[in-house]
Amino acid sequence: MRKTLALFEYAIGALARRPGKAVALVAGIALVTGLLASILSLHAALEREAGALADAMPELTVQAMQGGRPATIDAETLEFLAGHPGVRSIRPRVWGYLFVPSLGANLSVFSVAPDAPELAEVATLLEGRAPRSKGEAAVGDTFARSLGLRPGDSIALPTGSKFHLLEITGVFGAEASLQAADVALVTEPDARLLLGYDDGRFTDVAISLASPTEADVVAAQIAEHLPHARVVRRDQIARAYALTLGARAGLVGAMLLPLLGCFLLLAWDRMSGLGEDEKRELGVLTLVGWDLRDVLLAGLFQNGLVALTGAALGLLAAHVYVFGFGAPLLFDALLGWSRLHPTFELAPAWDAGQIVTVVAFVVVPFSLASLAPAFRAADVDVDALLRGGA
Amino acid sequence: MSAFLEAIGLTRRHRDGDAVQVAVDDVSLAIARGELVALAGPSGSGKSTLLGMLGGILTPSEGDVRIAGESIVAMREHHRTAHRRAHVGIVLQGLALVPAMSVLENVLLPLVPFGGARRDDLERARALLRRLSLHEKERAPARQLSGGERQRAAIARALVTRPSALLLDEPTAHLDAESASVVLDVLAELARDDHAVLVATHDPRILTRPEVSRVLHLERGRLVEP
Repeated sequence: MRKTLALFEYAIGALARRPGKAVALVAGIALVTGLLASILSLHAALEREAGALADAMPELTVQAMQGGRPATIDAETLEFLAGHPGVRSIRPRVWGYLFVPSLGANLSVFSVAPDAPELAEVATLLEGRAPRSKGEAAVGDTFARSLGLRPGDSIALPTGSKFHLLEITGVFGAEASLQAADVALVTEPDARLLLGYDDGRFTDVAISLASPTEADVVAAQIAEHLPHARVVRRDQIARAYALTLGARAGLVGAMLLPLLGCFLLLAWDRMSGLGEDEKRELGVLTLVGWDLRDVLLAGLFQNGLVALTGAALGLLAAHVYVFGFGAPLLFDALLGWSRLHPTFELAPAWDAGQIVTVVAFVVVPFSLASLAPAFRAADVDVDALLRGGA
Repeated sequence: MSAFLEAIGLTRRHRDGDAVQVAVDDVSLAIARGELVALAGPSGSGKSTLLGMLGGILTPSEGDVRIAGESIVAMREHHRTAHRRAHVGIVLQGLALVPAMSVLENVLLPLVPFGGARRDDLERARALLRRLSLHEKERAPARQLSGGERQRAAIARALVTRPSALLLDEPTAHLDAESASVVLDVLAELARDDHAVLVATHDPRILTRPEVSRVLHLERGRLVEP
């Protein structure tokens, strides 16, 4: 133990004697670690947000299909669904997308009934209030900010060749941004007008089950009776979110692999190409009776210190970048580019698995890559030393 | 007097392209404690190579080296290193000190594999520096020392593990007369203190010193009569 501590102390001193090289390697590791950790932590935070979003969704969603394309749902289907065993309640919905030329972006238009039970929860997310009557709308924060809208303002939205005037009664707060950034919540008559839906026809049906654990069974029964309908379970939506975010994170991570490879090559080159001072120092160590194992251990301590310091700094930088600054650029890459982009604050989300992944991808390869050069460096050319050539 | 350091038929060959060069050829010698022996010879005669084999940092092609009665050639690398650092201190011209370390850190460097310097080691290191008139520079970086001071610091480092034998390669090269004299006084004192001291040199200031017990002449790798 005493010997290990002495070698560790020597390793710290050796790093301090060559601060330029140590700082360059620490910075390189911090950069690679920071990028990797940013992707992982942002992915985890978004996945958590998406999970919360999925939790708030109906247990089943039924869409009518015609020719492989989504179609509207008629009253007969609603009647069947409402009476199906296991179904507690149904909520036919009218929603869709409306292109707003002045924004160059699609607005997601959702209808809501003034007496809908979920309005109580929605109200907590609003500055202002939810729409109660025709001609009123609550809109997402990003959409409102893009057009400089506040509660009390009015907006004209296109309906074919005309425009429909809506008064803004509320704006969603940033905490609802992931769900509501590009949303306009309106009454059902306004939604029908804006989206061109006939009376009695709906976009889809949200179904609440008496027993959510039977979602599989009920979904299969509905699909059997409505062969042209698509029945989507909540867990399928959650999985789709997770897969989309995971695929994007994986893609960005894969783009980083060449950078990691370049860094390892650079680290190898830097560590195997010893400077004159380092060669001299290793020669002196051999001369004064250091064993090859002592030299290697001291070298491993040096590399370990560099790797762990770099990794710690990288993790810290990733934390600040993702949760402090909202991960500019990377956020777009993982969530997708959009004119009406969510602007919510990410809640810090780290777990041991992420840290182990970072260590496995950066610290371990770095330490392994440094082993062979360290061994070569430790095995000094004694003949050259004796001739004073070290 | 029994030999503390012994070479028996030492030969070292190395390849130089297709040719085989013989750096040291069948050299036998013995040095007892209390002896100050000079190993003379022109540059390239094999002095440093012989010193390296005697110090256990070069492996001979043939022959044996005995330190404190034990053959080190047959030892495993790890044991050979441990044996030599327990019994032999080495001072090489080209590897005096680590320039960025302080003089005291340099002197204590051989103790790191033993767990670092304990209080008595520190006292001994400081006593050695005082004896070599370097105590006022113990905190100075080695790069700031003069040539003579560097040699003395390297000698202090070689002695900090309390070896019984000291091997030095050209300890007075590039030193002025005063610095060389200080170094030689220290070597003579070490011999009087019962150390076995072998100095490889072609410096006449050493070869003519009365404290030198014997002068061995090496030419083209072989010991010859003067």
